Amino acid sequence: MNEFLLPTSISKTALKEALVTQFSLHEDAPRTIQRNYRDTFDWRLYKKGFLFQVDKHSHSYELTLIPLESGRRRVLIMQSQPAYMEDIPSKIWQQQLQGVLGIRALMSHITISLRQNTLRYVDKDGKTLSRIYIEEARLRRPDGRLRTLETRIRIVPITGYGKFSEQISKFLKKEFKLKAAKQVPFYPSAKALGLSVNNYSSQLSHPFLAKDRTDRALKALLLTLLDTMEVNEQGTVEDIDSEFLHDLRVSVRRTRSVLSQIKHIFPQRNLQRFEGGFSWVGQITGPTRDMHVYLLKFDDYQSALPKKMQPHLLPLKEFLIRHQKLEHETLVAAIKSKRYQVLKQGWRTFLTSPCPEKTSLANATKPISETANTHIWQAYSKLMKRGSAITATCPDEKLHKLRIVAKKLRYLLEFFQNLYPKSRIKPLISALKKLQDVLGDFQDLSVQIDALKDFEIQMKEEGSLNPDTEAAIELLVQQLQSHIKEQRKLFETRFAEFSDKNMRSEFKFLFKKNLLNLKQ
Amino acid sequence: MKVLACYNIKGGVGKTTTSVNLSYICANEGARVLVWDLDPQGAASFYFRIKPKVKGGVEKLFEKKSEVDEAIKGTDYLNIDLLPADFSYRNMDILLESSDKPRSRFRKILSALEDEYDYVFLDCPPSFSMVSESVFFVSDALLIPTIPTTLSLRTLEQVLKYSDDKILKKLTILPFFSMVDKRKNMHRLICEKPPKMGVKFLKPFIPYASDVERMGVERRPILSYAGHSKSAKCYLDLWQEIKERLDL
Repeated sequence: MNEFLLPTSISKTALKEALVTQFSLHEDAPRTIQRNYRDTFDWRLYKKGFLFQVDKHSHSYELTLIPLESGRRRVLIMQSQPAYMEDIPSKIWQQQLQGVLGIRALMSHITISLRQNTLRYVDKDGKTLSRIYIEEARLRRPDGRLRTLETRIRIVPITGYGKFSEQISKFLKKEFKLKAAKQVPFYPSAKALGLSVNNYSSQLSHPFLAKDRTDRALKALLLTLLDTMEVNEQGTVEDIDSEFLHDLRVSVRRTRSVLSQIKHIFPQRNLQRFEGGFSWVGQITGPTRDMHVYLLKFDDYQSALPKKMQPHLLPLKEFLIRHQKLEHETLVAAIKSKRYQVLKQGWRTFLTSPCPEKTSLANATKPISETANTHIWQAYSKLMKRGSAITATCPDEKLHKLRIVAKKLRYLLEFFQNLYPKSRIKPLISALKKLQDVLGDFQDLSVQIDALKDFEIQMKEEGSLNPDTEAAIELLVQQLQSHIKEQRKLFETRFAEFSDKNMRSEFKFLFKKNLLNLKQ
Repeated sequence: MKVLACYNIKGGVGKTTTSVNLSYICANEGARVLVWDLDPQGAASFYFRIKPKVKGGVEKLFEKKSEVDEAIKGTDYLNIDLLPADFSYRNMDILLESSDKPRSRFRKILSALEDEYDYVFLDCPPSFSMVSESVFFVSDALLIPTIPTTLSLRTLEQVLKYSDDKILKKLTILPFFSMVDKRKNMHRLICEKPPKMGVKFLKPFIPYASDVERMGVERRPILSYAGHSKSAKCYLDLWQEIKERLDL
């Protein structure tokens, strides 16, 4: 495809007239198009190498998946705008995007209003041999105002008839001295909006230097977490998809984990109100997240039942949607509350204030590498001690507590991963993740069983529980109970893998040995 | 990539209209589609307003992938390309027969297109030949338009007899009634109670209708000019059932 920019010194009419005089062209009726570049909040399509363009015509939407490098575009016409992958009614598209979008919604990142003139180069049989699009574009800014972009002329060749497009391009270059557009309109539009493309990741990767002072390093880390919290607020309030709230909550949990695990860095009197404040944020965001989780699990719940019984579970879905909306309203009120805003402002002020050069706090001025090694080694040792004490007959509660210990270790490893060689720390994180998965599933199943029983009671009280639904929920609970036993058995295998000789020596080498070296 | 062949030994039964209309529907669902007009008469090429011409003829086409790429033409429709017919295709049989591995030569062409297309529709010439044998070898399904008359059913029987061959056994055979004139008693009776031939007819049938015939004048798929017609709906239903039967 050849794409040119039309300077303001050349009128569109003059250009069209010249083209029509030179070539056998047919002009289609001009169209007004609203073009959206859509992607998930965290740019999953872009990361996978695609731009996703949605053109809204008068009665339809034209979806185009544009490869960033090379390859063929995919095009699909739909009658409505897709918000999720499931909304795209094409098995082939769904297969292509499988695992890319996940549960994230497609959001509009850039909106352009286009007036499009189409000229078609046709032969005597009426066959189109090349298409010329003249596109006058206006970019919509967040405040609603429009900014005029350069007019573009796109010459789209038809497979097997490339020479006709070449003739047109040559003519435009020669007669009008047009310059080729180097990029698709997405990039200049993003630049004009000040939009950082592909700028979000929920993965934590903070760039520490080993010798950084702990208090300064941790303030920087906590500030990143606060930014992540804030960046996810709008999507949480608008309920665009469940990942906004999830990422917000993870940032809060990580913040709380730093505050509770790494002591004597900041004056305790400063921290108390923040610890309490973030604990409150954890509480107010919990009920909506729970509803999201059950709604996300609903399809699995349904398919776990015999086919005949599956429709009987639908009242549970309606119940969850209803309560998710109610909980979300409460959550939005809390996020907009003065308490929440004051908490955030105070936290930001604290984090951005400079650390004192001299301090009596024992760990504040230690190098961050020493702090990291100390806490990771402590958390690891605790996990190994408690994990080894788990027996086939010990109470479930012990496994639940072990899950929390493992989570704390995971956070520490992730916070400080950049202090260690990637090739050595990553395998440890992924081994821990496997152990956490089994502990998490075990915990989830217990929580789900209790929650389903609670929902059953609530539905009965609300009058939305019929005998068929009750039976379906009961059966589901029974199935989850049987899975619990499987998970418990699986724990033994996973823990044995995690605590094998190589793993132990690797943890020892990276954290304990380094710690000793630092102290010497 | 799925390969669907529109085939019948008989001519004038609606193979080309089926290839063109189903490819159009399939492409509208977001799939990238290639129609290969294997019939030297070039009816599919005609419907797409593309010259039935392959530079260098069939011999060049079998030479290497770049020759196939060169021969493919974009149609006026979203997601549909055409590998046009060529008069030299009448010699395709001779060319295949003189080859050591005729079926593999055919497959080689399609394998090279694996990454480019999701579906290939083969619009086959009406014959029993090395070309049809190669088509059976590379296809996932045979779509057999059948006029509900005694003679047409007889030809279908001939294809099915041929299906004793192990190649055909791997193929899903999907016959359906085409050019159905419900005013005719015989058409009505056969459609209502298709004879038992060991294969299941697709339920939707294509009527004998003027809007289908108009394709020759319009030179485009029926859904592009009579999208709400009964015939268009029949093709949509037919495609729906094909997808169900093939789990597409």
